[in-house]
Amino acid sequence: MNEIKLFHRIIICVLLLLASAAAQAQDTSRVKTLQSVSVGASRPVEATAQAPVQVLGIEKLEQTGVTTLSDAAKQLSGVVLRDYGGVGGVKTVSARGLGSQFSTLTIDGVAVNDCQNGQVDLGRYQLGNTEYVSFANGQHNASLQTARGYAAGNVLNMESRTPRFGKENHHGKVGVEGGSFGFLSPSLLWEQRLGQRLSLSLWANGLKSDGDYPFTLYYGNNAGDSSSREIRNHSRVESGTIDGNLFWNISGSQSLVAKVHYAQSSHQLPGPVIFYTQKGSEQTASQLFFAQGRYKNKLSEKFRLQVVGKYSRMSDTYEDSAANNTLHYTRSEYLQNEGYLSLAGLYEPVEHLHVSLATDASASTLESNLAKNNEVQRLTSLNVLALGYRCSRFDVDANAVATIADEHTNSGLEHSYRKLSPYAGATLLLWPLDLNDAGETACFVRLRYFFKENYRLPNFSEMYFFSITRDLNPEKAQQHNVGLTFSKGGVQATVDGYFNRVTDKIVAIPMQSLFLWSMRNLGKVEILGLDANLDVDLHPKALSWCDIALHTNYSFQRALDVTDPGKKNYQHQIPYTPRHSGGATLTMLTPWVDLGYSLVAVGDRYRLGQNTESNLVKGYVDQGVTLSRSFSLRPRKENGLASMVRVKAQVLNLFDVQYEVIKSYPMMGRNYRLGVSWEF
Amino acid sequence: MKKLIFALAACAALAFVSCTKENVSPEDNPGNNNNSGNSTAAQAYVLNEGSWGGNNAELSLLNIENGSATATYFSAVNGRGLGDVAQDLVAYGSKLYCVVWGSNTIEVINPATGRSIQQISMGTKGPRYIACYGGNVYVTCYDRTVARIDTASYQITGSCSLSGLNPEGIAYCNGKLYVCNSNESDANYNYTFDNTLSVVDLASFTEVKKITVPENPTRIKALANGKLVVVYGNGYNNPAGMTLVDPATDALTDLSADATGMDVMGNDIYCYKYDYATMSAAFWKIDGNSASKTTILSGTGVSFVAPYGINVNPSNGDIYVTDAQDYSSNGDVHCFAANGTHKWSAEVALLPSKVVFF
Repeated sequence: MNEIKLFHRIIICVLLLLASAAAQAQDTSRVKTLQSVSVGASRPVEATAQAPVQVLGIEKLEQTGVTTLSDAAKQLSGVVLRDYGGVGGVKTVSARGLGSQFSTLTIDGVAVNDCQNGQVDLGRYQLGNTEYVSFANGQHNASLQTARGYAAGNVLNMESRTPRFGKENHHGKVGVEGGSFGFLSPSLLWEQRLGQRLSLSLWANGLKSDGDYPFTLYYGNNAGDSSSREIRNHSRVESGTIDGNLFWNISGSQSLVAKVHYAQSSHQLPGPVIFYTQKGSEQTASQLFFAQGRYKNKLSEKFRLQVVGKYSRMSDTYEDSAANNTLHYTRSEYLQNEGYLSLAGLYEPVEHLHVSLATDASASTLESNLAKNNEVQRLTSLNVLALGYRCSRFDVDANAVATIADEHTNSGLEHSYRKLSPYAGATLLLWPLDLNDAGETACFVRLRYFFKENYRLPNFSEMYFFSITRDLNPEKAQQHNVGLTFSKGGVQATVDGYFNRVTDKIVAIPMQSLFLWSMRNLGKVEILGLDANLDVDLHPKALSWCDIALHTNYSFQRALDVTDPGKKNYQHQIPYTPRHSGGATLTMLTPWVDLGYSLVAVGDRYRLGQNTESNLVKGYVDQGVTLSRSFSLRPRKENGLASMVRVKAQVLNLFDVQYEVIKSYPMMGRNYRLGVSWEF
Repeated sequence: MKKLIFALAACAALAFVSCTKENVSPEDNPGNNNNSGNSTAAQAYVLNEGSWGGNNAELSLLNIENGSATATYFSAVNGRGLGDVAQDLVAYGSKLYCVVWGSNTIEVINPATGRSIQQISMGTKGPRYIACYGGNVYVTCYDRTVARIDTASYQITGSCSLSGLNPEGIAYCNGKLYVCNSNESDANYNYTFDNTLSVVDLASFTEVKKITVPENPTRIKALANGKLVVVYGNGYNNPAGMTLVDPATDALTDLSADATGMDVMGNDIYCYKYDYATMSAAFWKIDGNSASKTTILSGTGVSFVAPYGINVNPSNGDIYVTDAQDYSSNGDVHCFAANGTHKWSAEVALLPSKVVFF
């Protein structure tokens, strides 16, 4: 019996065990998790935000079996996840037709910056120590935020879990998850209280996957064309992460949250599947360290201050043991260092009105072993002036971001950027007409609008490594959004229409020959789209033992290349952007078992700019089911900590759909995960 | 019984076909561009390179009378794609030979049907360009060799090691093969440029000497007068240009033309230069005896975007220019009469680089 079959049998056994346990324990109530002590940032609220924001709480993510940031991103509307397949394949997000470099990943509101590639691989971030994931088109509405937060096109934020304690001063959780194709991931969480105001947490996670999954390789686009069953080779991944956090309520008005993070990984790169040949000679190894802190001080009723600092160090190596060169070997080494400091102040001269100033300074360096420009340094200063007026009926915000950046290389190249970009947004409460009448069951309807212009600077790869000319300007994006939000009790719905325009889009064109490329600000894209979200939390009276939550979303994106009427891709949909996409998650919590179901549907896309049949990448529907259950080991003390074991069984890609997100990077078919964790 | 006899006969016929080695023919003579296997061709195949890693190399079929095209002909006929990055296509004997670099294969194709007769795996050799002679096709490979493939058995029957860097273009002339040694990078992308042609003796199938030429030679063709035309340089790391090489004396005659690509017919060289920076194109016809240069295809009314290949139909002298457009959309083929009159244009597939007549 092979490993896979054995694994399937184990899964079936566990499911049977779960079922029998459920039959025996129908009268025991489901173990509820403890309330957290609020120290961290408050969650954004979908219904009241000017710029659309989506929030995914960790409980629902866990119930639908989501353990990585990239899987969470699949549940966001308007977001396109580029997934190169398997556990190790690179996963990046872009939203609403803007390139992925307009999406900024923040951890606890502090940006993860990659000046080399300008985008972050979300697959490398696990959610084991996360409270919630939020995604804002435009920007988060937080009153005090960094200038980088204001400057981003859209923001994906991962908020760290706030420690939870019962009567004891510690709380811990150990878990292990295993799955098909050599997936194994142990983790440990330890939370320690050091007094009323100070607590620490430590989270460690290891992950290993062989990724040798089978897939069907189609050699043509037509029905009846040749196909063969293949195995994805050379996709082993090993990684480890340690994440330490400090939460300190210094006084009633001051707080400090700090994080130290170290992650190390090695990935074999399978590359695209190439017809009739096998390649498997590339690999990368990376190390990421960062330390960051956020200090807040409410100096008076009228004045608040935030200081954020971060140091990060990222090293990446890429090796190809069958490179097409003299040595048949390539090894590229990159080391990025960044120091970052942000100051923000908020002043409320009169009630409802606030003025804030934020200033960020950062120094980024990239060293490499490349032949030229092997030391690049960029100094960036972002300055924001923001004004806002907020009352119960409406709010209005406006800000302007000034970007100043200067960079130079050790080959003597210099470049400067100076840009000013505005934001304006407002919400208006349309219903109820009289707020005094609004009770618990009232329904609220809000109208919202925002306009934002922003720039993304060329990254170092575009500027210095893969281009022979260096006269790039920042790429510019303008976003207009108008939406309606509706909330009533457990029901929340949002509908937003948007029009975005990208100009000076950075595109690669060959110079002299196809071996010498240059980056130019040539592209123009116009995007017209719609995002709709519906969240329903149900506690049906007839099924009082059951909690049901349903989340659905739908996105329409018409993202057309309008660069040049003479080109064959003029007014064609830009690559890898589906016209229609959507998804749903359903969670059902019962005394016997918790059920989570997720569905992601993505329409047809094109791999290149010209929308021809040969470039078509067919749409897909990917569904998954998660069953989980908690068992209480000892009775829960009043306001104390329950010791419990949680068991999870998961079937991913339930219907074994063969699909590709990126052409020639096949995705995993049906696969299984089993997890057990012990909380104490 | 009848069926059985028919089946046996069919097998015998197949065996006969597959055992026939291409005979030494007029095609083996210098000055032939291996663009045609038929003097009165009515059809042409277009080689579309496809994008790197995209598995979308393709052969398009053209009706050269009226310019109607079947863009995805190979994949439609064969029920499978050609593979990843098609580098070269030649007509030799009664078959087409297509080098698919990314997939490390050579497809032997029946031009009458478009069907692949044989897919030859080249392992990890990295096949690039083809020259044909004496019933063999010779393929330059990035493992610094020339592989010899027997056209009867479709087996690799020999491999000749070269002492230059990444061999590219290859041409046959008077009992020898001439191979362009181009450039290679080291592990840190520092490029080293070669400046030699390797001369391979066919009888011993070994490299017998090297001829020094300007830096970074990439394309080579033999003229009817026994001289070789070599395209060199990329215009960035080294000057681009074109030179005549006399294999008898190793003497060079520079043609003062920084051509990007070329084709030959008899003693005439047809070439184009595409300036990527100004996005402008120029076309010349150069006499391979006198080296006199004439501008052609000016004022044709066709606006070229990014010329990517030039070929001449040996049966009537028609000139075909392939245009790669923006390198991510389907390219075009423009057909001109020998006097420069535009006949027709047709959309084919991604990155069309060569037209072969059949």
